[in-house]
Amino acid sequence: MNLLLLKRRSEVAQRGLALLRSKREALMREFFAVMDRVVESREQMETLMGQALSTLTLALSMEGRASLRSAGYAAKRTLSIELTERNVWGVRFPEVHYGPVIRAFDARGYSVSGVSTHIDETARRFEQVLEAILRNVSVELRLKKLGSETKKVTRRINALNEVMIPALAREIRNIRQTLEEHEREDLFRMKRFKAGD
Amino acid sequence: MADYAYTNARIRAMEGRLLNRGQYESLLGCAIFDGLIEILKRSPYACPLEQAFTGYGPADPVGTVARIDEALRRDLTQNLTVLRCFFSNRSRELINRLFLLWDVYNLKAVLRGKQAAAPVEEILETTLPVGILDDFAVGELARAPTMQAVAHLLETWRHPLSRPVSTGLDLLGETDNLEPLESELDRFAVVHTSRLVADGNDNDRAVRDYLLFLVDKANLLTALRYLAEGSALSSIEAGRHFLKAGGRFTRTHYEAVVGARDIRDGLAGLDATPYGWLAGSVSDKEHISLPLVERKLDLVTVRKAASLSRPDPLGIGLAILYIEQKTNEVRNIRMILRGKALGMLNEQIEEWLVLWPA
Repeated sequence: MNLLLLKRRSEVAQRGLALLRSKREALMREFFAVMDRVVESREQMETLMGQALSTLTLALSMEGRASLRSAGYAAKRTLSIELTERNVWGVRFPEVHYGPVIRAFDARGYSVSGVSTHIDETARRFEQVLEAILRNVSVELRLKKLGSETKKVTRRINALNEVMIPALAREIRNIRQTLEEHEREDLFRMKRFKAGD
Repeated sequence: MADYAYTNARIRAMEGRLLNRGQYESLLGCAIFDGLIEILKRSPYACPLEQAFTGYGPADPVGTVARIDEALRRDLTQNLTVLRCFFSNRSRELINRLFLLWDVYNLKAVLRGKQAAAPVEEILETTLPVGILDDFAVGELARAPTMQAVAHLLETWRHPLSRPVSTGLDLLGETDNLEPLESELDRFAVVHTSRLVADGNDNDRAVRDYLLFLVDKANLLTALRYLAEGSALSSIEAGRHFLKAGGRFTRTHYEAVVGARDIRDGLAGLDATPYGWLAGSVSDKEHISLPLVERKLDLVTVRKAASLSRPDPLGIGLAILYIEQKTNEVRNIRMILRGKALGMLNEQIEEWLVLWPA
């Protein structure tokens, strides 16, 4: 009875192992695809940040810290960001939704003729950086989630492969050996009984 | 004439304290950042720099640049305040009209700070109180609890900008966007001032000429901004930001630039205007950036101020030239310091310097 139960459990464990292996493969494929996008958007973000910083340096030189800070007060706004979840492969991925980040030059809260083009250019560049960051957040969160999910699946595979299945196999082997031993004892007893007759 | 004899002698003395070509070359030739500060400490900036560094230990170049920025802001404020104090009687009225532009700047800084709920000290750091609104008045405005209270204070003081502030506040309604209020202030400052000095003597005409040039510059840059952004707008929509003050860059010119394909095309279309030379000045650039065009216009602004001071050496033109030279000098110093702190090449820094006399 126990042997049958253990055999069934071993079969289930083997099937689970196969399933987890294919899930890990799929996750890894997705991970590398997303990683390419992350690397690309990181590079793009770094380029945008470099451009924004050199524009900021120029604006600070031409207009001074005071003008820039003052324009910053006028351009202050609330940007609403919404986080939703999407279920793929049984894994929940967060997604970031946001409204338009880059504003028209006459929609930044200050008068067009009262602010220099240096400040305008700086505002536009940093809005581009902010948009790139928000775009990147979804992808990077997805990558992070894929990484942790792959780790979790690998841990489960290792647990099945190295602990559970060998333990079941050992138990099955022990029961089998015990049963065979009993069988041999029975046979021997039967032979002696026959010879005694 | 007597009004300006004394003031111009004082302004000439102040002009003598502006950095000369040799000092700029020393700054540009200095390879070590600390060396730049030493050179500045041997210049008329010694006193503001000493004040800025009092109580501070050695800091990184970025922190040092920030302190120098503050020193330059205080020095500019002090110099322009002193300049305004030289004038009296009729000439004082005229210079006050010119300094109304600085009042507009400070008022905007205060209103922006109020809107963003910034602390009073931070608001004051964004101001340059050199006009009728001196440091005391700007301090009072910054301490006012609301924007409405700022408008009431201006009305109490019978300041000319009280009317556009009240009108602008009505335009704001429930929105956070200060643009309508600021535009109202800009329009009032240039249109009102240029009208006030329309039919006067040579000095009035000089102030009017200078203001109209600034209006032209602002309108031209606004038109180019539409092109830089690629906004497909009707001329009526684009005309919303056109400042009507009777400058040489007319509404027709403005609409022609807004209707161009791109910045290069827009600049090429300036042939019929007094700004036709702009296209040639940036023709060697692969990408025309608006800040670069603005810097080219900055040079012409100094030239314009110089041309206003030539016909009458004892007129207000010298004061206008000094204001332009001083503000430009501050920009140059900031550019050299930041450029050097970030390891920019001299050629890259020089592209953004406006040296006068050229």
